[in-house]
Amino acid sequence: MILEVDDIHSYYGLSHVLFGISLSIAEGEVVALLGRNGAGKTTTLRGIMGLTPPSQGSITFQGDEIQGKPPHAIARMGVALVPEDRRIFPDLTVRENLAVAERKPRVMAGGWSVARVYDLFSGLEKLDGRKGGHLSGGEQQMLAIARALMGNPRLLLLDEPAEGLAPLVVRRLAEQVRMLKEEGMTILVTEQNLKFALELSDRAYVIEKGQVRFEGTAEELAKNEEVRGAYLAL
Amino acid sequence: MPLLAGAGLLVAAPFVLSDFKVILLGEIAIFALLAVSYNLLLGYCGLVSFGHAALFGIGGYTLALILAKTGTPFVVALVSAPIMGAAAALVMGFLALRLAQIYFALFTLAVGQVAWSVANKWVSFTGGDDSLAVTAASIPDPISSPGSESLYFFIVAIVAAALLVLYLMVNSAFGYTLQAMRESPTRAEFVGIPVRRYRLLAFVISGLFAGLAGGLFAVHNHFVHPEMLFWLVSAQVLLMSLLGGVHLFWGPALGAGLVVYLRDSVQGVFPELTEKHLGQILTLEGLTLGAVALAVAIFLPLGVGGMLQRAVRLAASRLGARGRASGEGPAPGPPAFLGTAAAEEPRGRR
Amino acid sequence: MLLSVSSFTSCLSDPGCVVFQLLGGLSMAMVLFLIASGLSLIFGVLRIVNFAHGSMYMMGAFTAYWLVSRFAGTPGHFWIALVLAPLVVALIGGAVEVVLLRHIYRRSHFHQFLLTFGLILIIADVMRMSFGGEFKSISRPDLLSGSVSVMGRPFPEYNFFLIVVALAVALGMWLVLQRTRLGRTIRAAASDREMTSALGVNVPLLFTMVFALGAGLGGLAGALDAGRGVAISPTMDVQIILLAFIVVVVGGLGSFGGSLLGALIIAEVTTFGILLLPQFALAFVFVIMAVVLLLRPWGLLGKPLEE
Repeated sequence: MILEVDDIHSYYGLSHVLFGISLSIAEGEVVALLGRNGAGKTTTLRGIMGLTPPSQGSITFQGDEIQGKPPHAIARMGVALVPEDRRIFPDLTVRENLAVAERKPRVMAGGWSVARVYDLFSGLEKLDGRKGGHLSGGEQQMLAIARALMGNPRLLLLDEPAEGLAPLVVRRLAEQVRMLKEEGMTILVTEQNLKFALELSDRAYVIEKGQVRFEGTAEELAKNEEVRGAYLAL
Repeated sequence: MPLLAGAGLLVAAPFVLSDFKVILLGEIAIFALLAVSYNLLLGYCGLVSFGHAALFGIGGYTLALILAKTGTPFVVALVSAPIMGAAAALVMGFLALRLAQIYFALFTLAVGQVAWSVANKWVSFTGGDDSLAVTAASIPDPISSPGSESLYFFIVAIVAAALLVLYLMVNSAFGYTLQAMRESPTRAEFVGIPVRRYRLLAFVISGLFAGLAGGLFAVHNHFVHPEMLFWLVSAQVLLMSLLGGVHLFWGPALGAGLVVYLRDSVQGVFPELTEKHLGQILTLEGLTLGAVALAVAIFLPLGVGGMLQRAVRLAASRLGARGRASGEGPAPGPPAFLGTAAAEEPRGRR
Repeated sequence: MLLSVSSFTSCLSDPGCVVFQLLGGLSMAMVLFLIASGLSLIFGVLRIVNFAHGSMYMMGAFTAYWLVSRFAGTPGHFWIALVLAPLVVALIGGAVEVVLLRHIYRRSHFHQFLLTFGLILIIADVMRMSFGGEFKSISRPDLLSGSVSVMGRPFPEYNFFLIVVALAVALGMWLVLQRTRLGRTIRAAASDREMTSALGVNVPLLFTMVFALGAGLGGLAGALDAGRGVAISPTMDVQIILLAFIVVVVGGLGSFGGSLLGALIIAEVTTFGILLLPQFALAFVFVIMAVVLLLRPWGLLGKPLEE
């Protein structure tokens, strides 16, 4: 298991949002984390990244405990987050956005570089000198994923990547994520859009009110009307 | 009960304490009023003003100038001080309340400094740096002598009355509205509360009582000086308020008492240092108050008042648990606007 | 009596006087720019309004004074002081960030104001205890003690030097911010510190560096000003911080170019304002600040903040 989340509880101020979430991901797997708005998907990802550290529970990444470590340390160990609202630096150019995430070139076969992410996201290259704030939603999403890759992550956390994008753009995005998967990238993706998630993922977790309510393969979830009806929108 | 005991102590004080201590108590009362009036903006509206010293000084100069330049009776001068404070606050607030947070703070700083530079530089009118005397002859007899019981009672009575008015005000619908607006101005605006108008009213009331405090200060000290208007005085009032606890009505008054008392007790602590610096007065006031400010900012965000409140609640819940089941629920968490919550809310910057 | 229109108009009608005043204003502007750019940088990245920034300037001046007296016999002692003083202040700034500021980033801005106010009081008292309250000064370095004739009027060589140094620092800072990895990271953290940390940047360390850099700029301004012959005293902090605030508010909090523009405006208005209203030149600039805040709260070159 590359990532093991064991019984984490998280709070925002005084409000308790996660009530003992546990999940695990094997190397090379694509796992979907599904649930309605406010179910705790984003908080789970933020907890793994160290942005909203859980108050109890443990998170191990490649066998090392990362719970309690600062976000930059977790990032340097090989976790990268693509947040829901993309969080592109609006005043930095596309290339500068990528460069911020570039760590000292690690000796690693197949490490990511600006040229390689431009290869995968072919639309980005021609936007090289454009300010991040002047990109469309789809372009920002590509840039956010590309930026995350620049840190050569072993685990990619994608928070609702399809949200707010036109169907055509979502199709292309799905293609790109599939290519990452084929390269062997481990991905944890949150979604409300069941179809998008099931198409890409091997396994899925469904959470509701900060607790895991279902765990199984994508096929099992696709067949399980009851779970889908109870915890997922449409 | 504690209120009565406190009142009893205040009444007995001048008969048992030295003149010097009585003067100190009078000064504490004046700064308590200044700090509580400031807290109407700080604690109840969530606005940091650095122009409060200017309103305080305008009150003081109004009284001093009227007495020095005209033959107007004392009472008229005394009443004019809060009126001018309120008028100045109306102008300052009308402009400043278009701005939020730090811009509000910096704007009030700028306007306050303009008032300060007028007091400092318009020497022919204000006396400038030489200060402006409020002669004993211009003050009615019983309250004209510093350290006297009558002056003390006069000051304490007015301050007590003013605090009572402020207390009733913040515990009225007006006060609750201010607090609701503090938590979320946009939501308040949305449900139809005219936020700016409410805040302007709070600003004017705050200026009224700051002006009154300034007038009392002039009577109590027999002079006014441009320093009264300087922004560092506003910062000291900020310290008083946060030290005492801005989420409590009495907090700033408590803080004012502590600060004025500390300021006084570090005077002349190190005579040998003072001598070493050739007559430079070295009081260690800055070090002391500075250390208090750091300690409050880092360790005591809810102030001494907040700490006491927590201790009292804890004691009460212990007692309650031992006796009958306590009717009170768990102690509420710290006010969110002080930013003391353990975890930061996720907030994306767009 | 208060208004001295005659000296104002007589200067305006004499090109020599105007150029001379402009140059005088420019040297003042450069010192203001150095201070304000540090203040603005710190605000831009840490989101802290550092009321104690004037204290960094003051410490720069006192450190320069101390070093100059310490190395009085050594040739080039002024230059040693000019280089070391900003470094000393930067180190102190870094320590202040680590020991104190770090604990209050999540507090309300009330507490942030309070903490930096406490620093003002403490630093002023420490300076008073170490150096006494009376005015100190250092003389200009021999190399730059002369004057150049500018349209018939003697203009100190040192002020030219000061203008050149400050412009070089401005250019250097701009290059660092725009062209280097550090500058890119600073700009990223200024717009979104959380995302920056999630991308592997050690943001706490970056904050320490930025605060040290800002403090060092303030210290450099203090040391440069000390060399000009400015009176060094434990009250120079609260005087300069007000001007620095005005500059950054007029130019735009967090904007580097804004610091330069604001400094030029404020310094020139002050220099010419003194001719017109000798007593109230300061009130002039406060009015400018108030007007800018009302019409364009984010400053001439700044950008609106969403809170």
